Amino acid sequence: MTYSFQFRDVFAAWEFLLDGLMLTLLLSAVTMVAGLGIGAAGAAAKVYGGPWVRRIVAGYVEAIRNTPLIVQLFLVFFGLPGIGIKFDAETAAMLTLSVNLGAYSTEILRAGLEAIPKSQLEAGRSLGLSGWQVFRYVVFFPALKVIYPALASQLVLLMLATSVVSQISAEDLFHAASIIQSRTFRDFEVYAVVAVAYLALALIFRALFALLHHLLFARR
Amino acid sequence: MSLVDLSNVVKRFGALTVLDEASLNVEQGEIVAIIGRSGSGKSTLLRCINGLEAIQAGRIVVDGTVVNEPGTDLRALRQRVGIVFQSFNLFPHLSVERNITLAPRVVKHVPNAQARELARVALRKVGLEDKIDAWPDQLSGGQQQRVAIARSLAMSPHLMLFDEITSALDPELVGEVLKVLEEMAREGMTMMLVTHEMGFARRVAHRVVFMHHGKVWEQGPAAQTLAKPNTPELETFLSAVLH
Repeated sequence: MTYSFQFRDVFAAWEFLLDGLMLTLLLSAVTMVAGLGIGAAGAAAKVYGGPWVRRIVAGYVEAIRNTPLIVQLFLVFFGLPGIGIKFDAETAAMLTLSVNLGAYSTEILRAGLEAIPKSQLEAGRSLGLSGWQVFRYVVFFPALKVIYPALASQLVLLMLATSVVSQISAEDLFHAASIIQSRTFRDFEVYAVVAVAYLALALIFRALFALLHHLLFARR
Repeated sequence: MSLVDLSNVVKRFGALTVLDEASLNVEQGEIVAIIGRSGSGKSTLLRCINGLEAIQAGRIVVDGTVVNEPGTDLRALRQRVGIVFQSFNLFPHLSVERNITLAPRVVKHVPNAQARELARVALRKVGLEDKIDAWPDQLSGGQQQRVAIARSLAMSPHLMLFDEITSALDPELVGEVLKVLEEMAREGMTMMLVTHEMGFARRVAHRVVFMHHGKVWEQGPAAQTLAKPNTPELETFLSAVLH
């Protein structure tokens, strides 16, 4: 039995793929900003907050890290409307992904903050720096450097994970693939093309993070 | 009025009493060496002076500021009280220049060019002007400690605290750090130093303070106190460290 590859049908639908790609990128970008914001607040609360704040944040982190992303997504998109809270698919996707990344990045950023020896904070305080200044000038940069590889990995994972949003009909790259598949029945070709697209995106992300690493941490 | 005035200071870590009604005065321009066994409260005493440790009872007045009152502006006090630590604690992500200019720039709002000049002057005092663009991990322990001293000096402190600053150094690097201290002594800086360098204490300090069980157990002029201790505890301590 021979199979003749026919990529033409897949590429003919390039506009679908392009639209999908745009949403995937948009979701990734928005989620990175919002998720890292949540993570920064969560990490600060966990390291510097009172016992109750720490407990609440720990509950959030564990709840998110121990349930599947797709279940979280369905809960937000299909579940919340049941109690009167409705979002469109894109908003539900951004919200869920941000809350999800927020939990993971809380843990990563917390590890960074705790990696800075107390003696560094004391040296800063002893020079008359305020608490905020110690964080800004003494803690932030070395902490970021420690956790940068873990954080960059997590962000690439996030980009790949955005593919689940097709399950609530958000029209991302993977959703476009499903549409093309149902029209052309070229299953292998369409999923191969999309796999390569995700691979390329991931490599581009990693290259950008490597560049950013150089810009941030190279000595001048 | 004394520059530093500690009266009946009590400091506890949980059930452990580290300072037990310790009292001590230090005058302007004086150099005081604090000696004693580890665990006798020497370092804690020093750390209470700039408010790094809160105390449970007693009173600490430094340069006219009551340190242990709730409303005290510790940041303002710390600009006038430098401290150098055993482990240097330079900021590893900043160049030597930036280590020194960080506090002048962000705390005192000194403009960049002027801050660099401050760094240069401070580095000259510790003999490391050529290292202004180096990074902490490119320096030896002795050099790092001298940069840490320069970092404090750049804030023009009225008082310098030294917490076992040569204890983490290889023996051959101790001398270069002590030389910097001697130079500062000649310039009239008020200094309190926790040290194990008895020879240095005898040579440079005006007064030696022996701490024991969280108290100032015995004190007096350096040479005399070290040669002829009054208490058996100091005598035992000295015979242990000198032999």
